[in-house]
Amino acid sequence: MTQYIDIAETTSTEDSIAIIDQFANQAAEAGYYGLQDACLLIIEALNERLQSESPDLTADLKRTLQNFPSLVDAYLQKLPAAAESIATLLSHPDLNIPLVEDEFLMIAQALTDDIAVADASDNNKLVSDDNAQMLPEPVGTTTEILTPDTQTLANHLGTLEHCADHAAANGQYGLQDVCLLVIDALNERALDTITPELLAQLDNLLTLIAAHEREPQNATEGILDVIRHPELNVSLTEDELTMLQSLLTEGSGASQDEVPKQNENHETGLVSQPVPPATLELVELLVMEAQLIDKLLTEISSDNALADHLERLTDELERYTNASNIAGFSGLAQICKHVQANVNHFYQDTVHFTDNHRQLLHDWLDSVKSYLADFSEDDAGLALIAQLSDAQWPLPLTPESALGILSQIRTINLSTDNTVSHKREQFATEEDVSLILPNDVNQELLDILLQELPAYTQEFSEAIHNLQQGGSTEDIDIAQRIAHTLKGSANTVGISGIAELTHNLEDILEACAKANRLPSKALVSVLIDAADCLEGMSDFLIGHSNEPPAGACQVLQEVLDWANLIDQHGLQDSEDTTPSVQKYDLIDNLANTGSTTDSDAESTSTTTQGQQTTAIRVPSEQIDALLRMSGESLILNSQANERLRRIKTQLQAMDTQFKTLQRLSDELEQLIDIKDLTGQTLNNSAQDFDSLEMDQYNELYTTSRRLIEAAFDAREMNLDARNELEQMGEVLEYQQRLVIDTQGAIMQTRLVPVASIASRLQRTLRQTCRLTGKNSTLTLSGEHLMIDSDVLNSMIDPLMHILRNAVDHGLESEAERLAAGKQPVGNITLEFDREGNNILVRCRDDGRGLDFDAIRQTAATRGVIQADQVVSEEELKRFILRPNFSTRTESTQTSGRGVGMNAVHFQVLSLGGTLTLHSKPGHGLTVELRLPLPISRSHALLAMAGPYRVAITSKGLKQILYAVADDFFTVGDEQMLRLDDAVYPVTTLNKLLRVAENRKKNQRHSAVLLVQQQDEKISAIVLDGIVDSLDIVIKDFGQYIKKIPGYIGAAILGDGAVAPVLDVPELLRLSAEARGTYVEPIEMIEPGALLPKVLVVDDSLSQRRSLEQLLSDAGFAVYIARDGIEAIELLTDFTPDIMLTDLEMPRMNGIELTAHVRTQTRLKDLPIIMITSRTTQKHHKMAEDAGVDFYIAKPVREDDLLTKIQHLLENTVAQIE
Amino acid sequence: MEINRFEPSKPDNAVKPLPTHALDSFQATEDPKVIATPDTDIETALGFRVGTLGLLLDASIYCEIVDQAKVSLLPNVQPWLSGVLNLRGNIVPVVDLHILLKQDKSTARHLFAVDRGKKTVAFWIDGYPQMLNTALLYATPQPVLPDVLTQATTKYRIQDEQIWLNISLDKLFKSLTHYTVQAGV
Repeated sequence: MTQYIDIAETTSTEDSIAIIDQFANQAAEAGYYGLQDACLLIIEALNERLQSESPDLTADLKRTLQNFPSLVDAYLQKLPAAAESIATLLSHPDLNIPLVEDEFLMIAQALTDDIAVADASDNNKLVSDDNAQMLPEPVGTTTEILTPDTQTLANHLGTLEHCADHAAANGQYGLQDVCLLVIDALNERALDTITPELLAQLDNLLTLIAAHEREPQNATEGILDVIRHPELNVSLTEDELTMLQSLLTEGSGASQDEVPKQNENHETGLVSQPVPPATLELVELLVMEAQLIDKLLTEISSDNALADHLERLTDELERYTNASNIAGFSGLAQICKHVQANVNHFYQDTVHFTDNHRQLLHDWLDSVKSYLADFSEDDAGLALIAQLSDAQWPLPLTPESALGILSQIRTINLSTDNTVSHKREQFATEEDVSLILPNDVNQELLDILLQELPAYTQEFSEAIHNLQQGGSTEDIDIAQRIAHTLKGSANTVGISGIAELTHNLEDILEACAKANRLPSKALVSVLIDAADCLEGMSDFLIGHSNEPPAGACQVLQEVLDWANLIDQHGLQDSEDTTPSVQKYDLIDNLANTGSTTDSDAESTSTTTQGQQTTAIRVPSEQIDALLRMSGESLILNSQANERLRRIKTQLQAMDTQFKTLQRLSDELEQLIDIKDLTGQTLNNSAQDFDSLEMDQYNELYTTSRRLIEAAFDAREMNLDARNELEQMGEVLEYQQRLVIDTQGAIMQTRLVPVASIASRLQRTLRQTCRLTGKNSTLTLSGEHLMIDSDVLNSMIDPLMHILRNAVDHGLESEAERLAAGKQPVGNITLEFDREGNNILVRCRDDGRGLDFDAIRQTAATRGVIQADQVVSEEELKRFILRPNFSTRTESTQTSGRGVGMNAVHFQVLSLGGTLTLHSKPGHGLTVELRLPLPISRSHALLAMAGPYRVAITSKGLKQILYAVADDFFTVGDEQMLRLDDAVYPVTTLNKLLRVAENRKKNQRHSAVLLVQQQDEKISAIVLDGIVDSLDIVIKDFGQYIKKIPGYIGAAILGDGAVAPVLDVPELLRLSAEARGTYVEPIEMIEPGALLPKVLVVDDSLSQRRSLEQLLSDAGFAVYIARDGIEAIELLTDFTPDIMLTDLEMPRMNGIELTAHVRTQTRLKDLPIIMITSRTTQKHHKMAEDAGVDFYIAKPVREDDLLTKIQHLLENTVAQIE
Repeated sequence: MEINRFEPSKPDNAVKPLPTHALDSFQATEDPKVIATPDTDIETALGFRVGTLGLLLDASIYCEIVDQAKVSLLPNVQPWLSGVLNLRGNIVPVVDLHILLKQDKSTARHLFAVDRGKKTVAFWIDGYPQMLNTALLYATPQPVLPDVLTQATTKYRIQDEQIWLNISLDKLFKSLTHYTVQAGV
């Protein structure tokens, strides 16, 4: 055997640590985790000792440590005693390892289990291999230069190990055994005894192994010859050799005989059907366990403590039953159960347990092993059942149960566990390439997919085309990553066509990547077809093309053929091994069914066409800009209208003037006429005609005549001008209507139906119900209402909180409900309605309603009211909306995250809305939510308040009137207004705005507004004066000043000045609150500040979004990063409560990220959940090693995820406490 | 006050740092070196004065002096909100930092509008703004500042014995908005 370093010679503790450290590393590599743990613990203890005041070790401990290498050697020889010794060493008082009893026991158990498993495997690989590696190099040989012979030997060893792994992976256990035996033998030889003859034999062996791949029968003899070669000194009995021989030949022979078509099948004797690697892993485990049981049986013969052994056997069988079930071998599990019953029988009656029975059990195990070797064969398991029906069993299998088991033993349910990948289809169907969207498609996720799809498909095509041009493995990686991402996204959205295609593409590309080999030309051409098909699908979904890609089914078929081929035979070296025969057969098949396929495709396209109208995506800023510009046009239009109005007034005045002019000229004419008749003064010329004989016109007369005509013409022209203006007014009117329509159309683009959030609401309710263990239905009404998307989005958060509150605090438990005479299932209704310019949402539950006594009590405890103070229910309701006011003492996951009604109230207020509560104890609570819709255009009054010019919109406005002084009267200090029969409290606008009063005393008439508040109360507000009434466009105060209390926004007036637009009902409310008898809250809770923070790291946009939605709906503040690097950047600024990460991401993957986080002092305890589609044990292990707390396979079950998060968060809290 | 804790800004899509850079920038907070040796970095910045205080904004920010604009006053608002003005169709809030930061008002103040579109905001400042070009000091402890600024100041620098504070408008207004909302009447 090999030499070891003697710790005694290396006197210092540091050296011991170094050696044990080496052991730890090697143990970890070889999978001896128990040993690794033990080593690490010892190192830790020694290190601590080194730093302590008395670093010297006691003699006893030194001695123990000296023995440690030999102890490890003994352990590796599978001696349970050695495991015990190592465990004892750990509890050595001088080492002073700070572990509790249980932890010691766990390590001891791990140590024993490890060698048990290693022992159970049918080879000595681990042991021999590790032995060679694990033990430190002999001190003397480290400086030795390797001779050429030893170098060659080392090369051979490496090749053999590779062969062994390869054989094991392909299920060629015979070959694997051969390799391992030889490796073992070589390792045991001293280096100086290697002869050229031996090396020649090894060369020969390698050639034979290669030949075995092609012709197992012929090569087997040669291989056995080498094994028998005396130089190798492989000590095998003749029996063992025969077994080896059968192992070497049998497997491949069977598959050759039975499936002559698949003569390239390398997976000797294991399967005739493709079996996913994950299943093979499970089968291997089952075989290993069977060997363990076999060993147990062997021990029975040599021991008298029969009862104990039988008991252990029952336990083992129990475990085996479970394992079989997990692996999907339900038939085998039933058989195990039956055998267990038999063993139980032996256990009850140990006296009659004979060697015969033992042999029965042995035989049974052999049958199990052979069943596992070819479980996918038709006749698999028959032998098992036949064997169990043997009358020698105390409880033989009855024919009925045998039949039942037989049906199960043939169909192995490979999908019971999601660690088993689903079986690949053989034939593509139209359904597999369907692009029909599911009915309950999540529009948001679909939008995201459609957004990322074109870019991804294009990138995929590029990568594949690169491969055609030669390319590199990097292109394969890129293509694989895209296929993986698209598969995930398409599955999330529910588009099977894309999911199915990308799933198979991913597998093919993964195989290429694993084999580190570029795809063959034939495969590349299929991949190119697939890439084109993907682009076609993408075009169709986006609406660029009207039909889904033709021949998608055929493309998928080709992809499937390749994927299946790779599953069965791995990647082929040569170009000519394409599945051409199958392919053409299939194409023929397709041709035969061509007509139906075509019509199917047509029907697909027609059905989907209805759903997909051509749409373009526009950034919301663009729409905002359009809205702003249409607003500007409206302002200009109203300015023009204003000008027009003034001109019209001027023309009107001019007309009056002209009329006056005309009248005056008429008068003048008359005067002239009279003068002319009476005086004849104007013309004194002596003429013979009397004035009656001839009209004689003088100059005055002519001028006056002309004046009259001019005046008349001027009036006519004025009328014409007024007509023109009239028409211009019409044009302006028309333009105004057009601009308003434009604005409406732009607003329309922002509208979405309430139904678009219905599924989220339903989901939240379901989740909350599950988490609280209550039952409830959610009924929505008014979900067809179209609401501005910003308003709807801002509404989601408060609504979720209200819903969670309703379930958690409102609804009673089922028992309570029944006792109260209610239906066991709670009912929550959400009504959406439009009320003026508000959206009204009513959330009604039929739960227990508000507990006014509890509220009163809490208020009293908080010192808000005196214990004996009389407080109305209305006031009590208002308490709930105060910050930090909760009647619950403990917080719950669903609604007790510090986000109570008060936070909801605050959110609603900052959105400019209102929240009211209506409750009858025992009859549930109704929460009424009013949110204003964005008003951009409104008719408004322009009024003066002191020096300020303010605009008042119609919000809450009931009536505008002029009241006389007699209408006012005072009651106490309060001024009131009597109007008809009603009496209203009076205040002035100046008072509301805290502006000095400006009105003259005893003013005869006052402009009064009657304004209704949210609580139906109507107040009268006296104004200084109304300046104007006009159309205005309301704008907000910019991004920074989002909301000023009492203001809706501001409007730009015709002269360019800005007038604030008042929210009079809010002013009234604010003024009432300021007068209230209760202390105003000093601090408001920012919603979200108290929520647990979760960081989601995923490179797929759709995955990120769906997780973000799920988690924010569940009440988390969600932060997003696209890969590890981004996550680390985010983590510099804040510490989340939990992190969810994908495994595969560009730049820095989830494992690296986790490992990095674990090294940070601040973050090392951060709970991390890994969510990935990788399901193998290998990935799982890697994640665990990096420090991941939970490993969840996609698709994620939402409840599962939330429960795990909750569990981790609770743990963290517990740790802190 | 817990509310105004710094929130990490959403990652910018356009800028991806190199992995090495990202890793280098990641420091455990417990690391005492960070506090002991401040990072220095030469950077140009836009500086303006409010009373005795010097404030800095990113040099690339759009700004203009809008003395000719008419400020429309708003009744019943926080005194630091002087009013609003109409800047090419945008409503721009006018913030009186002198009141906010408790500085004496000088007679010759200028109206200084920064940024564009909806993010435009105007301040009353003393003198004209200027470009500064000195080393930034990232380190704590910062000089004693008015409450509002402690939240908004990200870095500071010293030039000609004047302390210039790098302020983030987002953070500044985050705390201010809070005031406006809760103040009520």
